[in-house]
Amino acid sequence: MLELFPLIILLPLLGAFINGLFYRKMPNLVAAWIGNLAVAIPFFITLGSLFAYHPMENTVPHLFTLFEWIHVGNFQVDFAYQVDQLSLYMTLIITGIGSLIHLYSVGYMHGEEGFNRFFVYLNLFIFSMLNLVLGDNLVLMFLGWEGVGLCSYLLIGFDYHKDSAANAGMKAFITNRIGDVGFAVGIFLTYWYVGSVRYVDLINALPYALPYKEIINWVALAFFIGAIGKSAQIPLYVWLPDAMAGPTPVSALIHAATMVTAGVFMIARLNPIFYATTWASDYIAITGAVTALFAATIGLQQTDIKKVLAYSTVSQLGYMFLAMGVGAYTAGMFHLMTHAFFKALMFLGSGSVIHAMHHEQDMRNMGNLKNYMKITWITFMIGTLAIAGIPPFSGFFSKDLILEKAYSHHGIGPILWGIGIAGAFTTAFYMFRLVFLTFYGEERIDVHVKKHLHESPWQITVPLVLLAVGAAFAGFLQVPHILGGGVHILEDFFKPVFEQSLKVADSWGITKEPHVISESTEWILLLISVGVAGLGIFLSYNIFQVKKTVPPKDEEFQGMAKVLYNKYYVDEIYDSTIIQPVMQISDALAEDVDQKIIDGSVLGIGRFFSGLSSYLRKLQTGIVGDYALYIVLGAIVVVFFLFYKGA
Amino acid sequence: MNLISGIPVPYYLSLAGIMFTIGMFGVLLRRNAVVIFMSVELMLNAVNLVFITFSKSTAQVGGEVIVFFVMAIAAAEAAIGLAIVIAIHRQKKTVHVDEMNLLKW
Amino acid sequence: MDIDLNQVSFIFFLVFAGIVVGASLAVILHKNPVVSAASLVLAFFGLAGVYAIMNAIFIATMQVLVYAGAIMVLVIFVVMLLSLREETHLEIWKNPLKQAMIVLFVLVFLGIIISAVNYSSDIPKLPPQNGTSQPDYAYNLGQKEGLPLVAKGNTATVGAATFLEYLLPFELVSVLLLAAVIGAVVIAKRDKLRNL
Repeated sequence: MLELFPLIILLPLLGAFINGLFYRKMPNLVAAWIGNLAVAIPFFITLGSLFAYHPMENTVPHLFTLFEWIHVGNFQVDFAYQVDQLSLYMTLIITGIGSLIHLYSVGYMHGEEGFNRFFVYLNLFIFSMLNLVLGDNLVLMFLGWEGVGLCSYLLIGFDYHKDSAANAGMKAFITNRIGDVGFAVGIFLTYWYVGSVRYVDLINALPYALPYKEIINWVALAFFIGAIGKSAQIPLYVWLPDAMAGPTPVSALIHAATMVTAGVFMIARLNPIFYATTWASDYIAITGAVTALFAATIGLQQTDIKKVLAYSTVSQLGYMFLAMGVGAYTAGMFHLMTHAFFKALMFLGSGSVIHAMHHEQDMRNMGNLKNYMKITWITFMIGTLAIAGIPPFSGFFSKDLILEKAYSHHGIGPILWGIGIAGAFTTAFYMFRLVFLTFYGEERIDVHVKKHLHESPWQITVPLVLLAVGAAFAGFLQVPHILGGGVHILEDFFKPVFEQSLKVADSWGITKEPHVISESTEWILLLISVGVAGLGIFLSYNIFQVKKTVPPKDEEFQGMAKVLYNKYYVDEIYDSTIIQPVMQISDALAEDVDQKIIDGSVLGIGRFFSGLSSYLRKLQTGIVGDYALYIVLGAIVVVFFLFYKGA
Repeated sequence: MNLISGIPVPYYLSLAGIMFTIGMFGVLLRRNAVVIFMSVELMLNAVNLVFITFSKSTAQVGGEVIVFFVMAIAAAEAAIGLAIVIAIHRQKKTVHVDEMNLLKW
Repeated sequence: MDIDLNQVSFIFFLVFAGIVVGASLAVILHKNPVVSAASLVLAFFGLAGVYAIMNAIFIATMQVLVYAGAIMVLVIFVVMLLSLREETHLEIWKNPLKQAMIVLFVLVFLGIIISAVNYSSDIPKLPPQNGTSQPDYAYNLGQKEGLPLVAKGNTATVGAATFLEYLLPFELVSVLLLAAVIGAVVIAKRDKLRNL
């Protein structure tokens, strides 16, 4: 089965290519089949490869090369791929959830004029994302990194007639690019010190890198800056909420399950670098924790259903980075998967709602939808319970693991845990706010919309159900020890990927032993996190269900609520401090430097020669006598030199 | 040996130089094509004198042979040049060189 | 420089040189082209005399035959054919700035030549080839019956050199003359098809 692995990468590319060539003439049904098969077949191949690879016993990655790319001196980069537990894990998520979303898009984008084009972009995205996770070197990862950025731009601005969508696409791409500078610097530094960009070489080189302990921090920081851009952490998260202007399947696939998790994956993949850091990891953990809380507070007052989910994504990504920062890579990857399930589920669910309500996205105009859309309601509830961290749903296990690891981290661990708990409370509160405003309470629905309100077609509801199963049960892959002996399938699964670097870091004495917390402390932590979630749900129930509070109209927000509603005015601050000055500088440069100086000098040279020649051509008088005079002059000069200066 | 038949070599060369510059004056100053041609012949003769001078002073016979050939070539050149002058006169009815300025810019 | 003023040749040299210079000046200065041509003939005669002083008898003869006899006849023929009139005196002195410049440059040229000639070191004497070092040189033609065969006398020497050593240039010059003849005929021919 592993021999078929190249197909996983090539089929989405082929799908994009075929759809791309013929998207104008092809009937929608054919395009949909091609697009879906291009992702579904790779999913099954991946599943087969997972078993063929024997991940629980195998410790060696399977490498294969598709073709040679760059061979310049000592710098060799190929389209080569590395199949190991980590990349298989990510590929399953990408192709699995990707297939479901492709199927969903058939129903959601039905009748839209850009239907075929949508699948071209989607397949291209899958291809880029697969390159990102499967590549065996940093350059191929960067290719995928940029590719998903491009597809994100194309898909956010898919409805390019809409100004908000086009601008959001640009904002996403530009903000990503700012982060990418850090990524590129990271690649340069890595090649400079290691002499190779392949991961296997990095792992092998780590034992010899002890003299460079300090530099490794800066390299890690450079890569983390790339992750800040791509995975929407503070301060480069501003593009993600605006990206909600794109179609909902895009939000589900790219801005929930896959692209934004690329930063987390990158840290896991570059574990040789990140395990060997001293203070950089703390910085990553702090950024993650603060982002988690910060974004959650903004979500408290948003009225657009997709914006709430967007901020919750930023917040949950913060948890993942918190985990990566304290060295709990397995926990981070665990939360990545559970988040992919329940966030994609909730985005698709909100898409179902939006689709049924004829593109109404404001929660103030919804209410009591549980009577009209049962499947959507139930699956959405499952997702919300998961994100709030209520057992036995998946989110509980992954979030609890992260918080436990954070608490037991040396030094600032408990502080990080405190921020995480606050974030968990806020998350539970505003997610249930969303549920109560949308599915419960009074019906504030517009009359015309209500007439056609019904459950969405099967292409939409089947993915919802499948995702709900995952959101419900995926948590059982890693159960803490205190709960009935525990299950640590995931831990064992990932061990071969991380253990080499972990050993080296231990030998350097960097990974200070986490506090070994006692069983009772573990129970207390678990109960606190569940309790806090329950408290959040209870308060939310009180405010939104019992008292039937509805968010006010835009103009009527006051005080702290107004600040939160306006997202702490961060976009406005960026605009006035960074964007406007840059625009003014570029305006000045374009006019004064480019037009006047550069164009002037280039044209000026032309004009100079033109003038010179029009002056010099007066020598051609046509009179032979003049030419004879010139000959004589020349002869005199030559004679002069010959006689007096020597031949 | 600096004497040819008792006269120092520089005297001959100076005579040749004077002839050459007189011919050059004629080429540059006169405006009649035939007169210009005759001035060119003067210059050629100056060069011939130089050749003979050096042939005699270095006791080589090659210089005289060259002069023989130069005379033959000058004759050929005279024929062609004057044919051209006649052809131009046929067209423009003048041999004033300032009138022949078709190559003007 | 030691000049034997008693040598008759020096006086003859001065006479002939004077004829040459005077006639040349007349060539370029006289307005009438016929007078210019006649002066040039005189200049050639003088130059032939200079050649004779130098003992280059063959060349002197050729000068009179070819230059004064053939070329100048051709020139006078053309002058008469085209009925060239006198140029007005002002023709020569058109554009005073240009004339001044020309005069200046040419005089500079003359000065350079004369000073260089007078201040240069001795002209090197190359070893004689195929000839003796006597003024009346000879050309070695080889051996015949044990005795060296020598062409003696100026004409014999020049002839021997032309036809033995410089045969190829000789033939090429004859081809050139053929080309010149044909060219002259073609250029000067009256085109019968066109009305003049």
